Amino acid sequence: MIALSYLFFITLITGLLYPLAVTLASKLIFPARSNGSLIKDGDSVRGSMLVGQEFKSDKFFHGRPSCSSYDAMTSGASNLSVTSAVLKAAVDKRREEWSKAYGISRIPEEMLYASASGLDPEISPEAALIQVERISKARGYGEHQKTRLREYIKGKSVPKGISVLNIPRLNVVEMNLMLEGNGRHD
Amino acid sequence: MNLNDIMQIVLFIAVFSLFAYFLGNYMANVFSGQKHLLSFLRPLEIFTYRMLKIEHEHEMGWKEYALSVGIFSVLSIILLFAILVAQSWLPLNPQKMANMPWDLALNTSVSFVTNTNWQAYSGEVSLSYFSQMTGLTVQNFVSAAVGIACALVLIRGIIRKHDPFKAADLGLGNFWVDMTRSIYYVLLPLSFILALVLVSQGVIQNLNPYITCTTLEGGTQVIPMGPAASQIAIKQLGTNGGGFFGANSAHPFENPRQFSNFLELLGLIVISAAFPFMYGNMSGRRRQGYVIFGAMLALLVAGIAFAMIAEYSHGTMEGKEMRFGKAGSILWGVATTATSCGAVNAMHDSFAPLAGMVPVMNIMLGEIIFGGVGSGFYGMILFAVITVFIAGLMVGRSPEYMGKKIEAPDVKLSMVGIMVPSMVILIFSSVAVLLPSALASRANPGPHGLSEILYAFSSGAGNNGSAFAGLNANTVFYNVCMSIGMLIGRFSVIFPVLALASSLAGKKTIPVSEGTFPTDTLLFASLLIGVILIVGGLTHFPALTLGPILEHFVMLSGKII
Repeated sequence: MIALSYLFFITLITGLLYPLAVTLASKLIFPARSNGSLIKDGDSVRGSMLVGQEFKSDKFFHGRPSCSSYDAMTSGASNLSVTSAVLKAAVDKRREEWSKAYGISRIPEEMLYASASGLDPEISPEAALIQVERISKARGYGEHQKTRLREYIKGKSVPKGISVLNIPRLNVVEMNLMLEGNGRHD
Repeated sequence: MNLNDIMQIVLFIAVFSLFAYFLGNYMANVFSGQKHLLSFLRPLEIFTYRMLKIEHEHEMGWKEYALSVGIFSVLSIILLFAILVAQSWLPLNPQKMANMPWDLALNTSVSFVTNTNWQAYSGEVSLSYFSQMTGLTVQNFVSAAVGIACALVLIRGIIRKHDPFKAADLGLGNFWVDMTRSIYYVLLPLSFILALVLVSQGVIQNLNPYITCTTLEGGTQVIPMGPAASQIAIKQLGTNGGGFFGANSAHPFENPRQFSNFLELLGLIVISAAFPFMYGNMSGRRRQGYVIFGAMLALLVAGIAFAMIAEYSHGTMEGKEMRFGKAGSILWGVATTATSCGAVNAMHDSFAPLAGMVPVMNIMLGEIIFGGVGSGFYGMILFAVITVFIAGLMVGRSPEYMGKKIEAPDVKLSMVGIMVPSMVILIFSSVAVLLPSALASRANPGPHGLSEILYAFSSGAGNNGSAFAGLNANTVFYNVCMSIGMLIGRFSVIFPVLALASSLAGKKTIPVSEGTFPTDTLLFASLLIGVILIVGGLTHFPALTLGPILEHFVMLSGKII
């Protein structure tokens, strides 16, 4: 029975040898990245640089709306259509909250609409700048620190790498790590 | 839409076309047994045949070949099903995942064996590392290799010179040899490289247990782990599309950066796009390959342009990631459905109505706009056969393709391969619409709900695997009906294709004459595109009218549902 022995043999090659070889090679070459780009604080792990976290406190930058509240075990999206009344209600609510909190009418689109994974760690520079005032107040920053925060955001917004493939955006987890004075991560 | 978006699309097309050209020539050498870049692995190939007692010199006829494909696929389904329903007793299960229920396991195993990779489960909460590796990753490889193998048979049937001393039915190749070469020389090396590059961009690859962490704000977050990169590489390259995580390539661990996104995009199209070049090379008539490639590219570009305009006019950031934006999401959405990949980096369900229609239409046209690895090519040749037949009727010439006379049985076989998947889509969708329990699975009411159902069965029959993911497809009805749809969609094309190969192989090659309708011209490419659009349009336009097109007008009228 060639079919059966072939199936077992190819399972050995592509199902065990191949993934284990990739695992071994990545452990050697990219140890931190293969393990999830984790944020370490002494012995404890505070999250991953790539995975968004939920931020509600005034002392932090807030990320995009997430349908799973940034729970990585139930990641996913609303899957609501453009004509959905449920979606419209959710967006209206977010718009109202933002205009109340920041007194603005032009709200960056990504802050009104939920991401695909529910774990999107990034926002636009515009959405970050809006939040500077609130964060500075909560943290008791003076004018000097406030300006430095704005400059930090502008510095981070410059596209790097192949510019065609780059949308200016900022990582919320990274910015909040910086606010906590803890820039260390793998 | 800005200049950057357009540049991104142009860059993508340029790079994949260039790669496909070289890969096509390389594959032609691999599959015709000539010297190539990886010839030094030949002893390993021979060792494999010896150990498994494969007579690699033996040439199969189409029936033996089809039987091998069939038996191998059935055994694959059984093995994968067994792994899934027994995973809690198997090793490499740090999260103690429970055994999968039977209907979901049936759906999942059929789905991965047929190269569909429809996912009614979420990987991070339902599968052990053992299931992901020895179950799913393996089928990612072999289902792609089966597609490549069947396309090779068709190419051999077309280019074979008639030999009066050889049985008409023989000389189509050896299934085990084609499988082995596809895996050793094409899929494995490319996957290994892509996997490592993806890890360098932040895609995870480990066997660690999940990590529970305290977030910066003091909350708790469980971070999933696993051997993701090795599976993601082949899921793209083999046009499989089954994500390691539920959110697929929208998940930050599966596709963390714009560069990883670009690489994954290249991966999902490059092998399918190499096929026309390989065909031109193997047949010694390169222009024939260019014409097929050109027709595919024209349809792809039209789809991208249409969807881009629709999305930028009415779309939102709902169901999209910041790092891909609207352009990156739409480009991927069109490419992943033009090819039969089906991986997603944004939620198609939340695209603007007409932008969401392009993915469904790409699948409904039969997965021939580059399509699946191998399967897209043989699907396209079926359309080419129908086109020369229709052209022959129009101008009164006897239809022939690549010097082979096209006769009634060939046209019938091609029609079966084209029509049956469409019938599956329409029949199952109408059944679902009539059943209240099936309707209850919709996430959106109104025309969009119909689109969700249509998309699901198109995705199954077209062996694509992407979805309007709001539909809760993890019910016994959808699990079972989708399984049937995926099986019919796969084998109602493969078997006619193999039979057609045999029929063509047995024919004498007619020399080119005044009466020959040339199939390597722009005129033929346009006719081919016309036939594809007319056949696909006539079959599916009524259903699309009630789904995305109706929703578009509802949206324009300012109503919400």
